[in-house]
Amino acid sequence: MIYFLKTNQLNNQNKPTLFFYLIFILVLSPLLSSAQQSDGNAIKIYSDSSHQNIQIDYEPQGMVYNLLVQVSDSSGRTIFLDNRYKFSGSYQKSFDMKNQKKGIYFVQIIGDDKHINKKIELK
Amino acid sequence: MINFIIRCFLLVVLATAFNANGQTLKSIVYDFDGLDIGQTDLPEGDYQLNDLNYSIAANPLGESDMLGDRVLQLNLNAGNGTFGRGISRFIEFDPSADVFHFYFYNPIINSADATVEVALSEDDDQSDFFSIGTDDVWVKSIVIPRNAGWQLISVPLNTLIDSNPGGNGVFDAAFTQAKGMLLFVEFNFTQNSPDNAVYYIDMIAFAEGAMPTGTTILDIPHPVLTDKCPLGAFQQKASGNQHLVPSAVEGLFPTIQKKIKYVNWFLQFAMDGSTTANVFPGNEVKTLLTNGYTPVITWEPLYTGYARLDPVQPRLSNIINGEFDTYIDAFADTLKSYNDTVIIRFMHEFEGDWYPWSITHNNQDPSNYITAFRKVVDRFRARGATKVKWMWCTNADYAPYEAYNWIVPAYPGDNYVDIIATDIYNNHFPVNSPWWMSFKYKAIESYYYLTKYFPQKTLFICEEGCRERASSENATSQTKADWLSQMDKELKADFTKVRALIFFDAITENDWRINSTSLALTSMETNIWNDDYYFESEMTAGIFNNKDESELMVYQSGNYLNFKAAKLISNENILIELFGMEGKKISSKTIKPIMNTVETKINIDGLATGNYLVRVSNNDFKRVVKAIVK
Repeated sequence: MIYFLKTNQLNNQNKPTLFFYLIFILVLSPLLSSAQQSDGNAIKIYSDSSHQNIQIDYEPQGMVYNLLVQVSDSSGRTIFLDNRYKFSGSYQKSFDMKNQKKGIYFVQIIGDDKHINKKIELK
Repeated sequence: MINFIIRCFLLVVLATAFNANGQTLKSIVYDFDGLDIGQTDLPEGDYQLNDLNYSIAANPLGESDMLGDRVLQLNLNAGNGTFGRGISRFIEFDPSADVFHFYFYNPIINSADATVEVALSEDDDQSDFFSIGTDDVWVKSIVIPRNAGWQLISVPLNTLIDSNPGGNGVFDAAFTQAKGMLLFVEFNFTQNSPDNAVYYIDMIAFAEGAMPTGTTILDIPHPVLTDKCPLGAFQQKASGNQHLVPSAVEGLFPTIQKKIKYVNWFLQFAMDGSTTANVFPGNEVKTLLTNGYTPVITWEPLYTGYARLDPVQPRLSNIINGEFDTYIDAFADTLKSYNDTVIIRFMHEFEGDWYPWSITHNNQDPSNYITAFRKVVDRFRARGATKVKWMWCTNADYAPYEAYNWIVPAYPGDNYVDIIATDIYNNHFPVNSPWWMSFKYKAIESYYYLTKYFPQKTLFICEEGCRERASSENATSQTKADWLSQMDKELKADFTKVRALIFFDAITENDWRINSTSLALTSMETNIWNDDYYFESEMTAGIFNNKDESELMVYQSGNYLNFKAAKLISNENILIELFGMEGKKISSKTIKPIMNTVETKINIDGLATGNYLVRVSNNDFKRVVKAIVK
């Protein structure tokens, strides 16, 4: 299972109970979503129903001359990387994780002057 | 059959000749030139992982021609860390010949060797992004010892190992043949000691074979000054006034009277707001020709009264279908009347997305472009306008960046192209962003493909421009004046097949002018205008037995300038004089050639660093070349 880590909006497919939600907000959230939160409201990271793909949805504000989306595992190995030039519109990408180990993965979204870091856990 | 065998043999000979020196720069991942000290956000897709951070630093061992004054400082705090760059570029790799290079400085003050795994990925499923389930990752682990100086690390691609079960297990990145992009380059460091480590890295690049260098790995290749790279210019003048461009440019340098060779200007099909093709060159062509200049007419199927991509604009199909035949014939008749060489740059920058003749706006099919280009050339020839030379001009950037947009399949053919060209700008996107790119970084891929696939054609840079720094940028970073100086060195070292440099001397979204500032103008004068490399001069006639095979080199080695002139036409004594840039003579010597070759050393002990002039002469010839003392 993959928790999506959109800061203040939950994915309907994986909506936890209120108890777990509160635990998540108070305890896990500071651990799981790191530093910079610019455009955080425009990001969704979640699994598909088969739990074999990660889906990244991102809505940049306006045209991004260079958009880099990178996902790595805890050892620093790149799992997914997409480098786009002159990107505009909605960024939506799904990629295969069925052969990957469970654990923490790191997501970076770098767009011109924005740098967003997220963590996701594949359970 | 015999014809086929002969063609194959010639191809083999050609390929062998091209690879003869085995040192051709192919693509630069990063050279960091011109970036700000302390800058952490690099252009075009950098990223870091784990316990490593990086920033732009001054070269800790001092500036060199190869590395410049900016490098990337890597701070490895503990454990593991990665510096990477998303590439997402099509690069025509030959794994059997190509080598990945980078310069690395592991200072003695560090406590251990550096252990780094180089990782390259390529796009086997042609999705244009990397996914570990479907694409290869090629790696090699390298241990780099501590050293007092920079080390050049060279990794042949055929020594890399595929570390990822995904992908097809073949290093097959390329534009063509259903291959994909090079997706990323990573340096994955492992810490070997409990102490923090500081490393420096620079000039990350791919080459055919060894990295092209000069005397040392920190020198760029020695300039070979036997050929010329004459200058030209475009200036914004009222229609019909392009004959005024030479005096305007040459007037910027009143102390040294020289002539540019080319004048470039733009003519659209219609410039009166209509959609009727009715524009023809006028008397400015004749005036330029009479005064010894070569016109370069950038001829654009475009109506200036409408937006470039307005549906009303001509498309390639309109040309192919014959809708402009009458106009094209009349244009040909006009040029035929001049009875002298005029260059037409037709439908330039076709791999961009900003013109209606671009590949992307014409069914994404380069064959349409080729058909239209050939049709126009054929009509000119049918009208007898045979003195027109046809320029096929690319752009250094692709938009969109798609395999169908590659320049090579859009080549109209040797019978239809006389001159190949590219346009090079140090610009920034979006405007006001702090991006800054060296000439070599920006131009090398375009140059590589043009010279590799069309070596038989004359190569121009038909538009060249460098922006000025914005007021918001760091004032200590490379200036336009410095950029021009660096371009001058690199043109003569890594771009030796360029046979014309035409400045875009105008203000558009940036100030590209030669004299945008007094510093830029001074640099232009010092580095380019004072250098005979950029001028065709009758004074040089007679010095060499065979211009194409002769050699003239001046380069520094320690406290000496090494001078060599080979294949001289006679063994008559040669006077070699060293001057300061202000014209003051510093030393001279007379040498008698032996077997038509002169080779000597000029002592420069005690000379200040900077530019100098070396004049070579006898009773019949005189030639001046620039020398740089470091």
